[in-house]
Amino acid sequence: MKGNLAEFTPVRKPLTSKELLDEIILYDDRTYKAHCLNNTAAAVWRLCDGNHSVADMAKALVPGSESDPGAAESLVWAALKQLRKSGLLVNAMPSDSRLPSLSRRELVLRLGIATVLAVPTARSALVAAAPQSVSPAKQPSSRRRIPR
Amino acid sequence: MPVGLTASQDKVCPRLSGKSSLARMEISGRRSIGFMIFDISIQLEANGHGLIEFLISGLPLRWKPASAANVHRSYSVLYSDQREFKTGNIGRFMLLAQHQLLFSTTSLEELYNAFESDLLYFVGQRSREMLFLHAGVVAWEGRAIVIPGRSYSGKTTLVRALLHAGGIYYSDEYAIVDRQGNVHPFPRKLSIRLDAGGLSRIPAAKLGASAGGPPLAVRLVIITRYRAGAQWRPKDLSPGLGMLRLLRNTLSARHCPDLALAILERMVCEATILESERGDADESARHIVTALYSIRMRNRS
Repeated sequence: MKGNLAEFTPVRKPLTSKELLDEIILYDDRTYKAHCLNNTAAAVWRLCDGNHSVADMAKALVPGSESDPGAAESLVWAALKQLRKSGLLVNAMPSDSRLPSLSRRELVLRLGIATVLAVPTARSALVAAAPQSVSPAKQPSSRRRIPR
Repeated sequence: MPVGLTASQDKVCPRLSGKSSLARMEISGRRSIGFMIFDISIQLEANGHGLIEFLISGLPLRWKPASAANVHRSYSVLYSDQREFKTGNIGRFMLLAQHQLLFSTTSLEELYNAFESDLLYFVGQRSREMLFLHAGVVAWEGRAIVIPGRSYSGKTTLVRALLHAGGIYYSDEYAIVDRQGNVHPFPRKLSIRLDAGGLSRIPAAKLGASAGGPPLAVRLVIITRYRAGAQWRPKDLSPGLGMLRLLRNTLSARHCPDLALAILERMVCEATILESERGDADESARHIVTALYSIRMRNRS
């Protein structure tokens, strides 16, 4: 079962992206959401091209992880869960009950990722929406608290 | 139905005095005008003498006359002097955008506010020349402090406190950012909310501050929101998280995401981004000034 999981090949959504030094910003024009991936999540995202399996990603992400492939794959799955949660993948992932799950502490201990790779994170936000009001004159004036 | 402004109504436009002679020549007495703000073309027509001059001469952004071709947005202002119909003694202004009624009022001030608000929002959403962010901006030692935030987030109050601390006023509503990531002044009067409700527009000079200047690179982005009693406990945000916060306040993010991301990256690449709730504005301003000195020392070493 574990071998099958490692062959899972995720595919990312085609989104507007901006590469930063250690992060990547993605914008989804269907949901109007922007997403910020840290370096680990961004590395996994880049490899979600339909050509890399989870096992391939683990090797690419943590070179020399052959001695403990399970830990490296857990890191990839942690990133993929973040990407799935943010709606950034095209294909459906296996259910959580089948996925390996290591705590943040276990990942850091087994892979020593704290110095090079961070535990993967993806933060999301809705970008600026429709006008708040046509006119300041139309804004409610009495019920809002005036900042000091 | 609507009729032109009467001579007595024309006198209600005190703003007209003191505007540059060039601006007056361009718009004086006209009933229709095409103009550009940045790369956006606007058409404005009005049925009252002096209305166009009144509306355009107050705009806080530079505009230039343009042909009526390829108009991105058209406005009409209709004035009905209800005295004609014996229903009262105050005329009503109707502001239409793209032939749809946007706002109706008996107050010239409210008419202007509605026109300015919609126009700037439209330009901010559509311009590919400049990026508009909902943000206050204060210049400090030749660099910009940008405070993004929606209405009622307390950005004007913090801008005002930073002006008291010695900053130069750039904006309390929009940070206008060029393609190089530099912030331009948006020289509108500060909109101070009154305890009794409504807004009062106060020039920076009245607060003892100077205003405007050249485009500036950004040194500090402050992500904050007022909460009564909150302590200033800033944490550094990465450029990516900073951009995420700024995108919430970027008007054109949905129309031109590529451009917005490119400009925001240039804007934050050398900036420090701090996030904290804030309580008292003056106390927060003191913390911000301290942070600026720390950043300067860090950059030197």
